[in-house]
Amino acid sequence: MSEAPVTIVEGNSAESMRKFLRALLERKVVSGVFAPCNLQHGVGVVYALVSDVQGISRVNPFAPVMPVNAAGVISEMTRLAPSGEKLAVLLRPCESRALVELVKLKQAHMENLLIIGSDCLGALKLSSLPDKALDTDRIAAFMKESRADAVRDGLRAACAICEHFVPHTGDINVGLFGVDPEKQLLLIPTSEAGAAALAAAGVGSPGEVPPARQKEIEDRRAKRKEARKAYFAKANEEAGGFAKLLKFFSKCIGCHNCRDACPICYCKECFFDSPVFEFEPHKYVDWAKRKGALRLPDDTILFHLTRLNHMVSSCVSCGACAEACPNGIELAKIFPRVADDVQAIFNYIAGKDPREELPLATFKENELSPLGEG
Amino acid sequence: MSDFEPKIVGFFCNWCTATAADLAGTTRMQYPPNIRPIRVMCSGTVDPVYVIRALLNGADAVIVGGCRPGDCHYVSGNMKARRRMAILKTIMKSLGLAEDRVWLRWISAAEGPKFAKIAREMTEEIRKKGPSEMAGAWEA
Repeated sequence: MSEAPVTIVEGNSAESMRKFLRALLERKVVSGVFAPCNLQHGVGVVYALVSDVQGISRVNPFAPVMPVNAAGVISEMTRLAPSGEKLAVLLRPCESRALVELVKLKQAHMENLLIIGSDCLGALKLSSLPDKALDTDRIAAFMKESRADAVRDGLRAACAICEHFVPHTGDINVGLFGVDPEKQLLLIPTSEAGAAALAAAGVGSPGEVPPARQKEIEDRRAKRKEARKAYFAKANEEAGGFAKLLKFFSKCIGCHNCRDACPICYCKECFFDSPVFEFEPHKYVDWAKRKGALRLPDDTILFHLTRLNHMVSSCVSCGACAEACPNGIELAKIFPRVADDVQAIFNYIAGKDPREELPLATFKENELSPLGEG
Repeated sequence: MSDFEPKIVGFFCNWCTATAADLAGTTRMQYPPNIRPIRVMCSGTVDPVYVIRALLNGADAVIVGGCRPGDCHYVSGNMKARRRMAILKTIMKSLGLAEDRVWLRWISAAEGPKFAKIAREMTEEIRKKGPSEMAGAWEA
């Protein structure tokens, strides 16, 4: 697209964001805003679809929590058909990447969505949140710490090793890097629709991307690459090889929460809930006899390995699986690592480019010879 | 080690490898009987879950046999099988599991001798490697 001007809104980033979202609703650019909102009763934020201009005051756009991966929710809303009315959706990069994958998997529609993708400073584990509201000061403190890579407690492991903290797709990129989010907010149009929405909202003033932005992003990415490598090396020590893998999953109770929280695991009926896994009683006895004993519920490792096979080519390393595990199994040590390896053989990065075909939906005549047929 | 007989599970496409196995038999070729063949309609139908399940429940190795590129009865099932198996093997490698116990081979319906040769090769290879540690773990 042609170079559309960047909008700079002066003032606190959350306040500026709300001003922009309010303008979108007031000027009828969109009929609803999907964004994280403060709860009236309770702490933390939940996603909500806000249709009322007054309701925008509830939006807490940069709260450092991610209760669910929003792509799953957008999929629920748009699985049957595209939204009839224009909606603005505020997403983290891992959420918009998961949404792109879900669209490719025919589980969501992006038409009529104005995707506002925010630079991401990561999220805290829900369980680490104290019983106090996430007020402006605490969020500002988190943002400052996270930008300096100095969050000590509670940062989700998947966030600490994330290289995709700037959105790849969407209509508007909300810039936090390169500016002081306490004083300014960058709204960078990344599509024609985004530029049109910014013009229609009429907030802020035109400006330019500060040169410091690119440098900050590159430095951060380089540091994250190192962190990711180190984390994976540690993970390999902890869970590399069959015996260690068994140990790693020893606390698994087979609740399948990891699957339910995964934005990519969309199947209405999972293979593991299908009649294929209903067995006659004598089967269990046979298996126990063959191995001497049988862990029950069974198929712990089979479940995780199969889930990897089914979804890892689209895994966006959002860490929702790790967050969902009731026993704190650090799934970020498995899924992002395997996802990097698998996606690399197809030269694919999940959710990066909506035009790229899913690795399992296409093939080349000659490929993969060292791994495939030999 | 000498009395170790590898248990190998084979998923063979109905239109090629399964017929090649028949051909090897009817032409009286000699090959070790370690492969337990399972006939499937296409190598593309072999979900990795079946391969992993076999490996976790007693198989020392698994072979998937499909049609040569361009010869798939369903146009491109074998090409999809190749991607699936590449994903499976990459996952196993990442996690430090023995990915070299999963083989994918193209054996056309006319290739009885090739089937017998691969059966011999694979049996010997797995015999050398010894029993798979994944095969009998009750706590998996």
